[in-house]
Amino acid sequence: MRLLSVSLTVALTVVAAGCSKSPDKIAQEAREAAASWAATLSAAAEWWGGGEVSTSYVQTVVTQAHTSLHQEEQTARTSAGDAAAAPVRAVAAHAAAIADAVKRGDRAAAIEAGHAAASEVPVEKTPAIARPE
Amino acid sequence: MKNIMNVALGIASSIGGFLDVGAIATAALAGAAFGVQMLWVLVLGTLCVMFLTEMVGRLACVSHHSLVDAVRERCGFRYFSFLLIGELFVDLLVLAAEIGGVAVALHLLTGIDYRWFVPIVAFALWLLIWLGTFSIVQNGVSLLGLITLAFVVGMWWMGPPWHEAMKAMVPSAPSHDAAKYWFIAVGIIGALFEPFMLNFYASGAIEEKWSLKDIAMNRVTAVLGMGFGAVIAVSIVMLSALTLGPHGIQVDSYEQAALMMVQPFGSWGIPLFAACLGIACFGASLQVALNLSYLFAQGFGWNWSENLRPHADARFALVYTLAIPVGAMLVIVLGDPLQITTFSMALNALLAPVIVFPLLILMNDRYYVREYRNHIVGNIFVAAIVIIAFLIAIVAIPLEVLGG
Repeated sequence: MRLLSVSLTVALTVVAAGCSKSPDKIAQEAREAAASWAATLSAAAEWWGGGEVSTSYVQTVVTQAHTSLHQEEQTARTSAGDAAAAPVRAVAAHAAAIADAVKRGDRAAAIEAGHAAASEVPVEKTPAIARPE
Repeated sequence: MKNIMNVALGIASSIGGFLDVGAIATAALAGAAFGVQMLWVLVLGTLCVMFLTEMVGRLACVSHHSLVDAVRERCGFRYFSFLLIGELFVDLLVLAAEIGGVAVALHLLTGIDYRWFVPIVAFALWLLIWLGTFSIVQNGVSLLGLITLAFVVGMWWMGPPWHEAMKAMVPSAPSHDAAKYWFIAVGIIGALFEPFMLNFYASGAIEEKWSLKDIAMNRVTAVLGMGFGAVIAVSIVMLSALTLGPHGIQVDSYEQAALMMVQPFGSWGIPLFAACLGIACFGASLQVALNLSYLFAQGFGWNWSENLRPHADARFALVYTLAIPVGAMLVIVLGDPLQITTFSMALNALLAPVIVFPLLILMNDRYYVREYRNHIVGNIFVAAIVIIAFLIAIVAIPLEVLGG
């Protein structure tokens, strides 16, 4: 029984140590989330500009982006410092600009803010073709 | 002619019933993050689910037992209790994910917060089960699910990379994000052989009074229905790989996943995605809620049938009447329907051995299936896939949950 409890404690410690995130990892995750949302905002704004998605949909995307980026920013700032949160904050600012442009019905401004968001963080594009190890 | 119609209806409802929130979410995630690389997981899982579906159907045809009924009888009450607790927990989470999927679909169409739709969806779900019959639940809603063929059309429109897709049928390791890759792989497998689906299929066979003469129809339905269903799931992976990944869009929410339909369908894209998601999830939530009733009623020996009026099987009706509000509350309390979905699908893979291994025992027991026992190839293939998925789930779930 004692052996079992010792083994369990060791195993849990190893798992916890292996799974705990370093500040670098948190910063990288924050960058990736910012890049993905920037790409989403850019595409949504462009398609809204072309009349391919509705106004309510693009507003939904902006609201969702704002919520996710806010959570991501808080996590990054708390665990990895202000520098790690900076790209997330920048994309969130562009999201707010898109929201304003959508409210005004200004399609050109929304597209511009979308492009600005995408250029803020380098986007890692996944090719459709499989790239196994 | 009547037999052909039955087979066609069975196949069509299997195609519609194959896709649910889990299949859509995990396929979209896989395509956006890893291109077409994860197609092999889908193919392997589909082969496995074809075997499993055929087995539970054959069990019902020969022994006139549903899966839970037979497991309770063969393995005893203690084992059944273990299965009941596990499946109750996972099915409630899956039910939450499905209700959340319908609510998100309505949110995509209207822009109104999805939480407002949750009680409405839950009530509509309960009302349909309360008033409807098994054929309405199984065939009506599942036939509407044929709208998900829009994913196939979309993929075709985008010009899929067939050569690369064929190469991706061979298992391969990821070049980055190994934890995420294996977590999604487990999710895909969990979405394919959801335990609720197996018992629902067997219970449906009993409801429709299948017998030995239906064995061939069961085989055709299992292979073609699941096969065509898998084609839709493959289409979602390819569509996501062709439209989201190249833009750098990862799927962290359903709003992002919906964008996969804009390139092929233009202004129809988002409404079409919402319709596919909503109908597929509504059909699946009917099945999960009913399966919970089947689970309790068959395990405890109560009256059960969706074709009976609720007062004739009151305890059966009570279970789904309680389960639906609990599922709805879970969506509101836990939030983020996509995370509930991916997590519950991974849990499905953990639960799979608990239900699959007793099934393998039953399918080799002359008392239940007489001369219609399993072939050794089926036994080994299904056991191997389930064990591998279980082992990957044990490693990938803590890594993904704790490590983000």
